[in-house]
Amino acid sequence: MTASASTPSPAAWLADLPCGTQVCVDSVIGTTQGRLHELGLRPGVVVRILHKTHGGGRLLAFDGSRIAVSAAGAREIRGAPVQ
Amino acid sequence: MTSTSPLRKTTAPACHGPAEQAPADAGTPRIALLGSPNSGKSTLFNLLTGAGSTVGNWPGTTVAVGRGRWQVGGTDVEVLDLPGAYSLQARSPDEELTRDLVAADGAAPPSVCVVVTDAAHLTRSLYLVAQLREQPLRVIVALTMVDVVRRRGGRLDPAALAVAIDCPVVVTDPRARQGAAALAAAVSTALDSAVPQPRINRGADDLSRADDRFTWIQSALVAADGTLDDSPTLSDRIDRVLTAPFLGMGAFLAVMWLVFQITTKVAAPLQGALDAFFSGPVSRGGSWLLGALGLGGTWVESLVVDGLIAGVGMLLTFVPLMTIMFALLAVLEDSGYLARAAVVTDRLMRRLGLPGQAFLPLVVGFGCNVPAIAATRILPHARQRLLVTLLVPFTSCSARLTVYLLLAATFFPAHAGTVVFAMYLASLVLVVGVGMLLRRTLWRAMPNEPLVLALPPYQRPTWWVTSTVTWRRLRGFLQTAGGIIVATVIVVWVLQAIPVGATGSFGHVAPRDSVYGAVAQGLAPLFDPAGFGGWEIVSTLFVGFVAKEAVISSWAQTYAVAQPTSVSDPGSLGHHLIDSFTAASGGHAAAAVAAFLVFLLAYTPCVATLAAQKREVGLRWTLAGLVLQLGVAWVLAVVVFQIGRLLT
Repeated sequence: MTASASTPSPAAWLADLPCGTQVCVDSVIGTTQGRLHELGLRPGVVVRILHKTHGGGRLLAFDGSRIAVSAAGAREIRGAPVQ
Repeated sequence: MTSTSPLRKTTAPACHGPAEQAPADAGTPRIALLGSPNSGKSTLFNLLTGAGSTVGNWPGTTVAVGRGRWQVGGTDVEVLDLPGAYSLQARSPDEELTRDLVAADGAAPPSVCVVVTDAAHLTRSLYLVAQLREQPLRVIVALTMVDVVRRRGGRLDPAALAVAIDCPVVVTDPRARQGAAALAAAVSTALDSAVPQPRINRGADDLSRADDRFTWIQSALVAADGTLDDSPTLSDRIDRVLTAPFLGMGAFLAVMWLVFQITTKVAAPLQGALDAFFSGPVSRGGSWLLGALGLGGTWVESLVVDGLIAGVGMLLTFVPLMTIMFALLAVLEDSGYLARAAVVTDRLMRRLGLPGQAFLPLVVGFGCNVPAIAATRILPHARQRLLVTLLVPFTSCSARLTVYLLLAATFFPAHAGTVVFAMYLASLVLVVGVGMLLRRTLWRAMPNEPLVLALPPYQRPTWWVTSTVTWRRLRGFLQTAGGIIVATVIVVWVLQAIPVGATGSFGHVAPRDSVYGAVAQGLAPLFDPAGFGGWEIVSTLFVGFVAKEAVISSWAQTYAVAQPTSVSDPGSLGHHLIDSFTAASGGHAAAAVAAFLVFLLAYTPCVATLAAQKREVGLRWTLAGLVLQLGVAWVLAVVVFQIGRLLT
């Protein structure tokens, strides 16, 4: 799934966005970049932050997948909220 | 796709040992099964190869690879169940092995690559297919979870997908044991076909090549009419509880408690019954039979009854424990919960540089180290498995508890409970301490990336998957560990049977006058700095090496007293122990016992643990672990005694 009609919003790290937010991924940095890219989480993809996990991570939903990222991982994914 | 070709399961040849496996026979087609972790790849492997398959380390590595035989269209083929990988961009030794074994320009490229592809996560799953299609390889997609897509209101046309990606697509459901015949037909056809032309990737670097693949995947999904309703599912609602802050940890601890209770409490009576059966009717039957043959009372009877039957009996007492442990692991894996447990415990275990899954084997280790080492298989990477395998022996198993209780009741009767609690606390400190030490030395290079884990949807565990996985793992354990356990028990018997000097004859000699006693006397000075350098004490360390359960009975035998009926009431054995520890420590018995308890905690738990380690990480690392355990145990015992001596 890629962003089609999105309302421009300032980009933020996923760790700083509330659960339930849909985010159009802007960039992925750090050591998780390669792995997330292979899993399909790359710039342009819209992900939904489902909820917070134990330890401060996030559970993400996109393209039918459910991906758990730790708190550190959520600080490596940047995106803009979309409606 | 359908097939009418016969499909017959055959067993792996005997040369395929479970620990390290020989290369494939030249000329035998090799089918590589690939797929992301939790894709159902191993379930498909079990379906194709049946009970005869084996899982063992690939030669020269500690990476486990499943191997089995499968007959397709009248041809025997070898099937390899490769480690799970999201892509061929290797980020661990396991993924490196997968990449190397499917490399088209490698030493032995597979005849056909079967990629287990999850229809519910097609974009992600097809990435590996895209990479393989860029090599001159025959690729077949085994499409799973098509029913899940349709149940969730999605659509997918497998035939159109096959055209779009230019390779056969076979719909399978390994958990329901469906699709094997169609897959056999597809493999048979592929083996008779020329290797297709690779797809050209026009990307200039890794990221642009990945983008090229995703563009290819998107166009294939459009052609295959692939849609999926991505609204919240039941799994999402369950995850809201099972991975939630605090609630998730509570649920995880409850599951661990249940696993611990079942593996120890349920298995204990079964172990006791088997032990009683072997030490009772079987031993008596053996004695009667040998008596009838005129060998009663001879060393032959002692060898058969106290060596062979005792060894086999000891091995078989592990069967209920291991069966329960393997079955529980299979259920947790098959249900999808283990992936959630990894998420919940990730932050805690990262401090040791380990993923969250490492918590499970370490918890199980407090029940018994043997199934705990087998449980390290849930860890995704070989180096993580190796590290945890070396740490598990430092978890205080229940067999050590009886010795703690006996010594605490003998030397610290007013504080016995506190002493036992302190031993468990010391065990935790030891696991964390040794873990951090190894992490900062030998394991410095191990990457510690933030957690990124694809969670499979929850599913109800099936009897077939649970029983197949349990049986395969149990059989592997018995094949590898059985010989070591029985051989060690017999070796100890032989050492105890051979007299030194003129006292006694073979099989009829007091422990002190046997080779066993002589070796203990020779090694006793090594333990003088730890305050327990008496041969009666040191000799039990040998027996404890075989099994900690035998330590108390060995002391009773050495002192020629009755074994206490309860560890909280040591009786005359307690008096002998006080005398021995007091004499060996020069009057600092309390410090010496504390040192002995620490040594008992830290040194090799039992020969069965060593056998399990050898199976998982090979002989070299097992020996390295043995040296580590003995070294840590000796140093800590000396430190405890020397400090304790100053305080008492």
